[in-house]
Amino acid sequence: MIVETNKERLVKQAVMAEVNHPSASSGYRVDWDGVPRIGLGMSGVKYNVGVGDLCYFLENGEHTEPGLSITNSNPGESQALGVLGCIGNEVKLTSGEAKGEKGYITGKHGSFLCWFPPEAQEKICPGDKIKVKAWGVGLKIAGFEETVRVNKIDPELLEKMGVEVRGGKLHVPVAREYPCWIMGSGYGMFPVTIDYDIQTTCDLVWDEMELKDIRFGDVVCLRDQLNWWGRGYYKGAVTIGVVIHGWSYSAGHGPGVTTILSSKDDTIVPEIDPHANIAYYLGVKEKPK
Amino acid sequence: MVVKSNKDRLMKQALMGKVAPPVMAASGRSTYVTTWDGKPKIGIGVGGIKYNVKMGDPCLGWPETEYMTPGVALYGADEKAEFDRRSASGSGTAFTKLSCIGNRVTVVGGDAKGSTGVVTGKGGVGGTGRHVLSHFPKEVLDKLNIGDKVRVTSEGVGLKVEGFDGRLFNMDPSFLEAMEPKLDGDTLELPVAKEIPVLAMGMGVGGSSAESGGWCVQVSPPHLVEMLGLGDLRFGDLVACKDALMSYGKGYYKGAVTVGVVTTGESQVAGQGPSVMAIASSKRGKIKPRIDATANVAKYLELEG
Repeated sequence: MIVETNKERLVKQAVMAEVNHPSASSGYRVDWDGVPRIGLGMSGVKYNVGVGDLCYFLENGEHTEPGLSITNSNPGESQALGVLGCIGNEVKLTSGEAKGEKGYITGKHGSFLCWFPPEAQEKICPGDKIKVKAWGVGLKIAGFEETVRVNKIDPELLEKMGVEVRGGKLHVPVAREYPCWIMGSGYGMFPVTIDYDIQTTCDLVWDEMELKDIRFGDVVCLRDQLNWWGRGYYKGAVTIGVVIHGWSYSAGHGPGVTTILSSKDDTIVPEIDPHANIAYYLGVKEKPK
Repeated sequence: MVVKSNKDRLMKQALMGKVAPPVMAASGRSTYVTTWDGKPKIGIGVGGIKYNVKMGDPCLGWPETEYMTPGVALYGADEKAEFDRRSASGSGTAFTKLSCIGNRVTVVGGDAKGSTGVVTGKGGVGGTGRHVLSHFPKEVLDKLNIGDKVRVTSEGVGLKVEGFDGRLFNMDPSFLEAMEPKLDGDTLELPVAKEIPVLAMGMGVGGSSAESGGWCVQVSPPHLVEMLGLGDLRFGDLVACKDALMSYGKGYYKGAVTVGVVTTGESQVAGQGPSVMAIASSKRGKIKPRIDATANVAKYLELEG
């Protein structure tokens, strides 16, 4: 049975943002082991890295944001955007050469990350205005109103994720599972507005945890992690999230996860599917055979 | 073997600070923080002068407190930095990064002028990132006022123990010696009150280098506190964090050991809790923790009243 939700009761509204510019620090960033590095990939318009691609790939990649990064420079409006925007929400360019083109939100880091068709992406410039059709805050799954917290996911994308109700449990396809202790920066913070990272700064576990296989857009399971009123340890809790940004060499950092579903117990049942990735669910990338 | 350090080569200099005002834990216009189980909490205890809470006292169980700073909280005397939590440079930042446990603090203005105290730690998380914590005798506390100027005699950055395969931070050489560390080959033996597995380490991961900021020991939900025996944690306890590296940043590293000091009080926000300030860290696990329930800053600094 496909999930039923209260989506008809949720406010859908326009929120504005603009395409931002790549950022850089004024000196080297010192990595986890004391090596100075130049990190690339935060903000801006990317032509060769998008949702569905490998997170570990690009030289000097540091929190690489796939596709397009958008923000709102007005602090009050930015806060509203941060809370209201959800993964899977439709976005539309309202200025510039690609005006009228539509895409989707694929994650929330500091910036929101978006996918646009490649031909539109070629025409987009930093500064172009974007309208987000924000929809999803308050989303609940019928039968799981008290047991599963839903966060930052577009109701229609949730319906496409292969989530099934069976035997009173919510079965969710995930590409991979991670133990609580690998979770890093963003820990203890507010799930509604920020992601937290799968740490990639212990080279000793790169292989055993298959960290180089993570893809932007992967749906993943985090064990013993509760993302309800905040995020932290809770024995037996299950959290589902979407990988939104790339690798890092800064201590305690790595690919970020926006959390979308969380239960205190085994109400959420993860089921391994290597192709559990929002790029396929959104239909923006062809699923491998 | 008694350790041999480079203490004779360390720069000693004056830092200017002042007694920090109390501030609220909640950000913006909100009165409350939201706890792990969805309850509003006022969140008092950051900054200011505590008359009845000091290093060595119980860390948990103080009502409505979040990240309580024991003793006297100090700020850098840089007014601009005081209102800019993200300020990455300037004298306020230097005050925080260069202050070390065991450094002498002298009151240079106000009714307590001329009195001396000692640095007992630094804050880290939950709005305490720029606080230096200090201890003064009771009779001085009564005279001390918010805003009083203090001078910290800074010494300790760059401290090394010859032969140790790891790094040291945030300690006056006298504090290192008071712990009576031993060196066995390249391994440093340090006393700790508790060992903490990395699964209990929360917010602060991914944070800045060990000279500032902290890494929380989660103290929610209650079943975690019970599982790890954290209920009797005290301000100032030395703890060993396993598989945790606090060096050029803070993060998971298999086999690493970090010894730190519990500096600030509890938090009931999910994934948060008392902040640990690193004093020694080894990527290759070359720190041997020696369990000693009395391993606390109050003991090694011989704090009075």
